[in-house]
Amino acid sequence: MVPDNKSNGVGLLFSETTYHKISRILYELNTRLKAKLTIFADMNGYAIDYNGDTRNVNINTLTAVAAGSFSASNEMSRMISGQKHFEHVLHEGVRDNVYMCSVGSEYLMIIIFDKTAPIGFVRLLVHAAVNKLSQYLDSLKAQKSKTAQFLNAEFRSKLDNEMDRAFGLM
Amino acid sequence: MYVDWKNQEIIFKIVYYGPGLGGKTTNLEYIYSKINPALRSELVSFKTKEDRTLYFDFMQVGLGSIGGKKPRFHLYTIPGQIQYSYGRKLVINGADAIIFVADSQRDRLDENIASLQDLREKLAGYQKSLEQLPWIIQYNKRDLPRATSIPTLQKKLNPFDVPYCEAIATQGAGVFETLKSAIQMAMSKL
Ligand SMILES: Nc1nc2c(ncn2[C@@H]2O[C@H](COP(=O)(O)OP(=O)(O)OP(=O)(O)O)[C@@H](O)[C@H]2O)c(=O)[nH]1
Ligand SMILES: [Mg+2]
Repeated sequence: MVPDNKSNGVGLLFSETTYHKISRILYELNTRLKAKLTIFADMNGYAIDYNGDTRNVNINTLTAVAAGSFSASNEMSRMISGQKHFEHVLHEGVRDNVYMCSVGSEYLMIIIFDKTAPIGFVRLLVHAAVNKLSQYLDSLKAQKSKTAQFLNAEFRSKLDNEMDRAFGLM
Repeated sequence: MYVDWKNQEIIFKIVYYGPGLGGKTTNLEYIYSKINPALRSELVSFKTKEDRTLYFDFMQVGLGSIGGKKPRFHLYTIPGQIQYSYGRKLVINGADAIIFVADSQRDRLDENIASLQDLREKLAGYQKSLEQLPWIIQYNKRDLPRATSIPTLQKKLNPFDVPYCEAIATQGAGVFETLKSAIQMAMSKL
């Protein structure tokens, strides 16, 4: 959870505070909604953080698929109404519903919750959480550009070995 | 690229691009079937009844930890059919490397060229270009008797002389070599 400041002697410049604040917002949202899972992701389908029960899901796969589906729904609404919406999408499932909502233009909130929860209530709390999250987006973006420092020559050569092993190329 | 601090993962997005029926999905299916299941996720496919990609295929591949960081690769394929343009635009965004899967069959040359042009246009939509992005070419379907020669393909499809691999995706030949080469390209351009 906390960055490893010692690896390669390079501090990873990750703002712990931002991370904890985002985690806290997700935790509160997930708890108050009694949701199964709350994911904060970027539109490219990377899960930034999540809270809830992940035993039966692969977070990365779920997030990639959710981001694709969210983007498709928005494209459809753009085609129909002629403008970009980027707001929210509700999928009704057999037992669970999925509510997705944009956070700025680059991020996405995904909430999986029991079908019995009133959707108005879900929407209200999610939008409040999104407003709170919005103030940390700049700081998230700033971190993005500083992350590649440990990908040095040593890392790359070890990665080559790992690939040869995993891909059966030896 | 994305760094997931919580799980100490570094995630790269690798996109298989190219004309319809070129073998993009077949590449992923081969990887899925051969790699240690502990290293991969499910292969998620949005596809038509005829097994053509509608939106994208997705699979995550993860390698062992290096210096405490776990490299992860998000592999996507785009839908090659012309009409699914939106899926291509969606998937190409944020790619760390692109694998252009060309169909070696003689009568598919124009489709390869059109797909490469389409890729340029999609990238331009994000103010990106093939000149800046790490990419490689996979000449697939080398098993077919009507395959175009490599020098001809090189001349028509590889103006910047990016690395290329020959492949027979249905048999797995060249599939992992292509992936490795694309990952190395992604790393070298960081
Ligand atoms: N002979 C031969 N056939 C191949 C090879 N690779 C793929 N194919 C076949 O080509 C057909 C199309 O392959 P796909 O992987 O579905 O093609 P795709 O690029 O994903 O196509 P779209 O999803 O429409 O963009 C399938 O019938 C494959 O079995 C190859 O190396 N040799
Ligand atoms: Mg396909």
